[in-house]
Amino acid sequence: METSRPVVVKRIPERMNQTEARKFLRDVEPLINSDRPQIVFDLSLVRQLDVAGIEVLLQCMSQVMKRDGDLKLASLSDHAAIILELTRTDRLFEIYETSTDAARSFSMFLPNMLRRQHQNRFAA
Amino acid sequence: MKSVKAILVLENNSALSGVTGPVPTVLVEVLGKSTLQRTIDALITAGADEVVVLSDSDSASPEMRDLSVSSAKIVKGATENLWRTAETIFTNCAETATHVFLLRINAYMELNWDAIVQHHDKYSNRITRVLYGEDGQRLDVFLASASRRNEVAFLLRSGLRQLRTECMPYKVGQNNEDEYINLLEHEFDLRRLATDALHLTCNLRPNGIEVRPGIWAGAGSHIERNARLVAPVYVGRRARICANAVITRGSAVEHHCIIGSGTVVENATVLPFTKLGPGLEVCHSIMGQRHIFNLQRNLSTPIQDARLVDQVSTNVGKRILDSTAALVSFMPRQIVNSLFGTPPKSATASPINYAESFKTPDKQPELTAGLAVATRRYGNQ
Repeated sequence: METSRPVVVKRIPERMNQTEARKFLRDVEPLINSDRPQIVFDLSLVRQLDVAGIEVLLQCMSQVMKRDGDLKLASLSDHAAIILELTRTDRLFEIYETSTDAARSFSMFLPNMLRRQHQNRFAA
Repeated sequence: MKSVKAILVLENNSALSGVTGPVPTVLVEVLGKSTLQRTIDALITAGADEVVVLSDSDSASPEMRDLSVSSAKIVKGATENLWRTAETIFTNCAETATHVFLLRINAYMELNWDAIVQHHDKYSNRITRVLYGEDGQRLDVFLASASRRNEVAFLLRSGLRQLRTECMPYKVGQNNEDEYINLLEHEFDLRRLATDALHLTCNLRPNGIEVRPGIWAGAGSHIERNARLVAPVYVGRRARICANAVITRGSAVEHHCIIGSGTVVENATVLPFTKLGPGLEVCHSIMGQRHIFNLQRNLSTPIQDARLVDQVSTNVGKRILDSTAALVSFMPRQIVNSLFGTPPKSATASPINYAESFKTPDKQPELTAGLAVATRRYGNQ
């Protein structure tokens, strides 16, 4: 299934503490409030992710879902991956190796995407 | 009649990553006792008359500067004079002993000390070196005859690296002895030591009482009724496991730790004075000093948010003050909550406010006519 709607890739800042998280939420609000948003958050730069940052990610996820959109995470830094695992929030998001993979995943069915990932892994 | 003494040299070059801070690995408590203390106890049990610990007084680690051990004498020496101080200690020990063990304490060792002495006498060695493994890895453990002062001086001046005369070495396990070595070079080794002890692979026993088969609890530990402990696990002295927490798969919660409600600790070690927030999942990790070391990723990262991981004060007075303040403020807080109708914050709640994150907005977005609503799957699992 092809889609013509744009996929927005947004890079998350290095520090996602209380102040930065609030600022980030203000930045992404227009994206989230669009019709059926397709958003990828790139977490490759993240060096500090605290509870406020995770809450913002969940808020974004919640808002996007309410608008029948989708939010995916990509390129998790080691710190971000560990914190998401620690807080058990990793299982709430679809997580991809790269932003490109995440963006591409919007244009195909989930089973196809999984099949493709499996093939890639097998080929590697 | 044989008289054996031991000199343990504690250098400050064996600290691990952020989880242990500047503390040398041998001073990190594993199942309630440090490796240094366990080595001293083993030597005393094996019949050593005196154990002297020589520590580096210029160390950056406060634990090393204020070192305290039982059943051993502590001597402090400056970094540049450490080996010369060791030489002086050896001279003093040699006056009343027949054999002196010289150890650079940087690994956990379960050795048959008697067998080493017998080996030394059997081959009439001047100094016996202990080797480990098939490739003969050196262990920095030596047994010297007290009369061989020049040989020992040569050895000590080389920093326990070189022998003047090579003698027949003692190989760990050569007589099918039940011996165990953990080099404590990496966080994996620290974790492996705890699991090996809990799975009875070595002779290290947790410092506490076995309250149920495979569940060890230190003195004054507090395990709440709803907490779930799956053997084998260890809970250190004065540690607190809150309600609905799960400790499983050979996990070790060291002394004065607090495990928040609903937190799962699986195949992990929580180092002393660490407080884990509620609702977390700590798997295949070592936690301590506001750091997490993930064993699967082989990576250490700091955690800045105190709601997730915090440090309990090492000062007894401060801990008492904190708990008193919490107790005193409890009643007024309850009264204020009941007066203004604000719901008290549940102690079991996760630090992440899921309710706030997923709350329904006042204004619902308008749905496009004819929109097909499909059931979707979330997450990777």
